[in-house]
Amino acid sequence: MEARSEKMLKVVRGALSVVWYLLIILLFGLSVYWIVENRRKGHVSFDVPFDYYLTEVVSSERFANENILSVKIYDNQARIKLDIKESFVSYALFFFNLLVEAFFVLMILWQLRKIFNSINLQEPFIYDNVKRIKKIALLFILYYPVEWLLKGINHLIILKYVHLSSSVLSFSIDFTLILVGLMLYVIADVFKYGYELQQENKEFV
Amino acid sequence: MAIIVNLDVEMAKNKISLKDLSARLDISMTNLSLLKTGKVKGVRFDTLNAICRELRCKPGDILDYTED
Repeated sequence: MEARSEKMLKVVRGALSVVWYLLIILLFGLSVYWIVENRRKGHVSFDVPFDYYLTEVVSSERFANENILSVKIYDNQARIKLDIKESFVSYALFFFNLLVEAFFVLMILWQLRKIFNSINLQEPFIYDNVKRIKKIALLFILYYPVEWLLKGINHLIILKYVHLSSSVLSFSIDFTLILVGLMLYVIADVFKYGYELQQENKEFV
Repeated sequence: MAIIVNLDVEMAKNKISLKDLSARLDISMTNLSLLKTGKVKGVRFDTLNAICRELRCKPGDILDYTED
């Protein structure tokens, strides 16, 4: 392998490792910070917007109940920010969302690191890489369905706190990730063919 | 397969061991042993060229064909 491309590979491999470890530290740090901050405030803030498109003009008083400490409705009435009383459910909801999001990113990075390791060892066409690329493809394809499922679960739980008779839960569709996932399946097949050719080549002396 | 590999015959004529031949040809002993026993799928021309050069023989001395 050319010295220059070897160097590039090492740089990419190093960068992936750095990003991997940074993300884990960030995940842990963010969780600790969030818990400490909410304990200090005495309530749980959901800054990640729940996208509720309201079909009529509403005011904050409508949402007042013992569990909601404050509500902010943005000018276009498309977002609600809730400060919910501390409870096991509010903490569980936050961590559930965080872990699901983190799972996708970390799994993709983990598989990419392993692929680059094998390329660095000058063995890109191994069956393990075929499986890894297929796993990454599946993660890309499943990302949006899982996001929708999460939104649905969040919606059901939030409805316990907030009565929204006239809201519509919004779902956005971006086919980019699904298309990337499908392309990766094709690439996995190319790697599989490369593996088969390599195996056949090994049987020649 | 109907192709017979007579590498061991040529090696005996030249009084060379598998280990020495593999060192001279820069082919692993495993691969050379597989070739000797006819358990490979094929031989590259440059490998055949190197064997003939070292054993001072022709490809027909190493490879033979018989009806199945």
